[in-house]
Amino acid sequence: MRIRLLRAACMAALLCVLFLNAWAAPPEAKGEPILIGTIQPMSGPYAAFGVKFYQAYNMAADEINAAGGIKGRPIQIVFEDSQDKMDLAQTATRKLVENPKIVALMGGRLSGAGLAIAQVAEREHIPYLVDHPSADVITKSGFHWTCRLNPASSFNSVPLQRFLKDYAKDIKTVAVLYENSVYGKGVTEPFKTWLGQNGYQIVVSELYPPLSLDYRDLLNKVKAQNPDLLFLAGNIPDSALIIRQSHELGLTPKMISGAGAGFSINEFIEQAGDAANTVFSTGPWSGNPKDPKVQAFAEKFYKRFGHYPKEHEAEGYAAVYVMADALRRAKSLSRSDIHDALVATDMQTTFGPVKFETFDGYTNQNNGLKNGQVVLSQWQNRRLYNVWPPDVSEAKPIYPGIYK
Amino acid sequence: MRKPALALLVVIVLAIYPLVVTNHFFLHLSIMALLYALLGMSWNLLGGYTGQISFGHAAFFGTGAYTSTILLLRYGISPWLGMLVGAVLAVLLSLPLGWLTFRLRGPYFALATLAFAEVVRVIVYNWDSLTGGGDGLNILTDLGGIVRFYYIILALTVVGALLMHRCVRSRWGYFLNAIREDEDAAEALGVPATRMKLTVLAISAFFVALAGSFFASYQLYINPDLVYEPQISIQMIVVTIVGGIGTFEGPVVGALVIVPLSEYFRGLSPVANPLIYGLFIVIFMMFLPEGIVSRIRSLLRRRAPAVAEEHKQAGASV
Amino acid sequence: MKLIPWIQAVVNGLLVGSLYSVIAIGLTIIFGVMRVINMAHGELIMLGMYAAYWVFTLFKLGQVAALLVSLPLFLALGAGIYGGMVNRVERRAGEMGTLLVTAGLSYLVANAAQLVWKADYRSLPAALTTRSWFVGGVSFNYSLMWAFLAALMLTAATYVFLIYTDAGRAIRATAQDREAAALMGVQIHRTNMMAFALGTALAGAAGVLLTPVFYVYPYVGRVFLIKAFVVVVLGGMGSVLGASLGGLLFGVVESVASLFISSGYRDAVGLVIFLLVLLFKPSGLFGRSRF
Repeated sequence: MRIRLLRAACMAALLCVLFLNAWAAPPEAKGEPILIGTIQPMSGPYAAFGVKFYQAYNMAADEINAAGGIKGRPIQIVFEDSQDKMDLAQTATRKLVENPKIVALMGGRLSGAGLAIAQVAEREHIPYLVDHPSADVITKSGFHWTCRLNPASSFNSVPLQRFLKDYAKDIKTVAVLYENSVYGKGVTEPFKTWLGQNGYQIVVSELYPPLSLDYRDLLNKVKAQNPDLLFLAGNIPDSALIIRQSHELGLTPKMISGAGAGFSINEFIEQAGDAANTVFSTGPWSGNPKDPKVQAFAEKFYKRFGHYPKEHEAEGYAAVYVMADALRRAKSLSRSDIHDALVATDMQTTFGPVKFETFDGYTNQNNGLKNGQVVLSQWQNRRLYNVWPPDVSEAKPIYPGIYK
Repeated sequence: MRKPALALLVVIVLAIYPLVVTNHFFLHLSIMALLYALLGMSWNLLGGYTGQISFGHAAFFGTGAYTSTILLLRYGISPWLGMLVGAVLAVLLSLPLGWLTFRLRGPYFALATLAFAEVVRVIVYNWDSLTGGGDGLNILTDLGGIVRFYYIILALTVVGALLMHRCVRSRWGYFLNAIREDEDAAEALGVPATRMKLTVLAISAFFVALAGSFFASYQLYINPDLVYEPQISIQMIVVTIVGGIGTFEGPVVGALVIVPLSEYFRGLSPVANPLIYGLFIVIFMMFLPEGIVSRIRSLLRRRAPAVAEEHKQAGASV
Repeated sequence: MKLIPWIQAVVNGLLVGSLYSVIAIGLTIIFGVMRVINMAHGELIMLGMYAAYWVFTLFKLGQVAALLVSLPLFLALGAGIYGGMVNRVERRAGEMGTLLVTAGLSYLVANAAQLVWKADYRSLPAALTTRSWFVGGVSFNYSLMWAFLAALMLTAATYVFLIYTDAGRAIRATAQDREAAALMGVQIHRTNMMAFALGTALAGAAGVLLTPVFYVYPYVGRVFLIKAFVVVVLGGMGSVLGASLGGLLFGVVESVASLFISSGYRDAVGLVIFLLVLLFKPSGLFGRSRF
């Protein structure tokens, strides 16, 4: 009788312990990684860009995990290949969304892909943090579930505009070559409008199909018009090819400027060589060069990957930190709670301030213009330096550019 | 198809299929298979029965896709109506195509249709303001679940098959065969070859455009490369060849064989899909150019000559 | 009216056009002899481009080495494709059959290339490819000039082969009249194989010459195939002279047209020319009027 009682008591105790454990332990297993999905071009003509985000995301994630992760759980980035094609981006996004362990999305790279992802995110109710796709339409469509930390593409040309007004005042005629894509149009159309409103003459305006094999004929047309400024909006490999062929043809305007993307990355100088010297690029910065935290990040990145981070890496790195911050503040790890935390972000990152605001028809857009996160930079001696506005410049602009 | 009972059975099985199979992936495979069966049958009308091998049918597919999508996005017109408008536009497009190319024969005709489809693609690509250019168009409205789409394509395919079957089994069928075998002789015998070819092209274009509209509404995203690519034309051709060019069931069988295979591989690697199509063309053209259905038929004929005789006497041998 | 942009356009057109010629000659020989439209011709060019790329990247050897390596390789490849595939299909399924099987081959090869070499766009280092000479304000790209000369030599060599060798004469005879040639003792089967091998080798050589000038990626063949067809039809299917002159003419027309029309429509120029020629003069400038 006593033994039976003893057995029953042990049973009860065991049950109590089990019950309490189940009650007290966190709903998710300890140490199980929090998955964040990203869609990047891992292969195809734009694979170089995907690599940058791969490096930046992983470096940030490693740092965050080493410091304890999110309440003890590490974050892990799950990559899907989009080849920067919109339809593949869509299917890749749907695949990620169907995995319940993936709590949020980021990335996209090409503006078109970003738009496709934002649309899927809106339909499927998953938070999407945009860190690079720049087309205005992504945050001008009233999407609730999408937030963007990088500047919208219409901000891109503003530093160039200021440079033209304050420094290169002798420029009168402009040739504009931009790629037929969401990005190309998004960056260039506002610039063309500004040019028209400020008395500049647009002597050539051509929307070219990206990934064309040969730009000689197009550049020949431009050369025939002898513009003061050649404005280009395109990605690698087009950007390098255009500069190479324009050098080959002897096209020597007073100034050649790209608009970020294919003009502000290391591959550009690698593929275009010396022809790219003194080419400008207007667009998102890679952090305030005078900020010691940014300098430390740049050096650490250089040590690990062998090249200095630019716009893409800075954006990707900051994105992971923004995501981590939101995950920490979120009430739970459900997609909608993460979304609420994300929209309320207000922090400093290596990319500058990040706060998602609603203004001028944008929703959940970080105001890069106000924050000064767009700059004009120039390739000098194979490195990209900020040259305008003066308060964030690292070097003096070489104007007129030397393109012979 | 000689046995309407068998056909009815097939349709019934297909109709209850989604009630039994709920896996989205399999439903997607079935939808794509039915889509390509429809495309193959439409192409086969011109290619198999009339002997005009067209490499440009993508032009009609894309026209259907873009028309219904643009009408939906800009004017809020229902895809059902948009589909019909797209099909009519495709028929109108087929008229200049036919007039331009039907005077050519054989490979010249094939290349000319290819060039025509490419010209259409370039125009659509550059007509930015209307078509969104290289970025394509996105459909944001919810158009229904996967099961709904399954029944829609099933209905389209069955209706298309019935209509085309009627065309082929009528006097028309004889004329088309005659044109295929020897166009000049047929003309000499009083067959209005050009008029017939144009009519067949128009019917073919009509259904291909319907399929294109369906595709656009199902995928919710289109761009010039997706819907105007020569690969779309090639896929129609492969499906028909594998199944049996010039037979009625051929494209259906071909679609059932190839499409699940290629869609499965597409999930693994974006390259695998066209690779499979290429592989199938090469293997079949080398070893089985008459296609599966024809081969089975000839095998059956050898096994049961008496039955075959009976069939031969009963109707035209296809 | 400034003259220099026009001269530049003509120069560019001639230089690039010479490469179109080499591609087209290969295609037209194959068609002239066998009535086979080789839809996989573009992929052969692509393979030639990759060959040159790898020869350079792995062994640091230039184009001459690449040409020497690829010529025998491509001759063998062409013979193999003919003997192993085209011949068989032609007997069983005729003209349309070969059209379709080569189309299938084209998809197979392009996608297999993507599987193996990835879709990345590759190019030779800029230092090698952007040098140019300036003569009176007109620029002559160094690599293109080299390619132009090589193309001229290849064309000349092909002519010599066709006119002065027995094999070449057999090819011409078969192209002119198959039955008569057979009656004269020409081995049709072997001649077909030679023609296909020759066409393939020319495509591969064109690819090698194109590598410094254009990006290398798995689907690049498609772009050149269309241009090759335009040139072949323009010059006349089966006419080698037509292909050589047609290539130069087409290159110039493309370049000069770019001065007027929007760059997006540049590709349409070739297609429209193609359609117009097919409709109004299918025999082309020099060829025979055969449907």
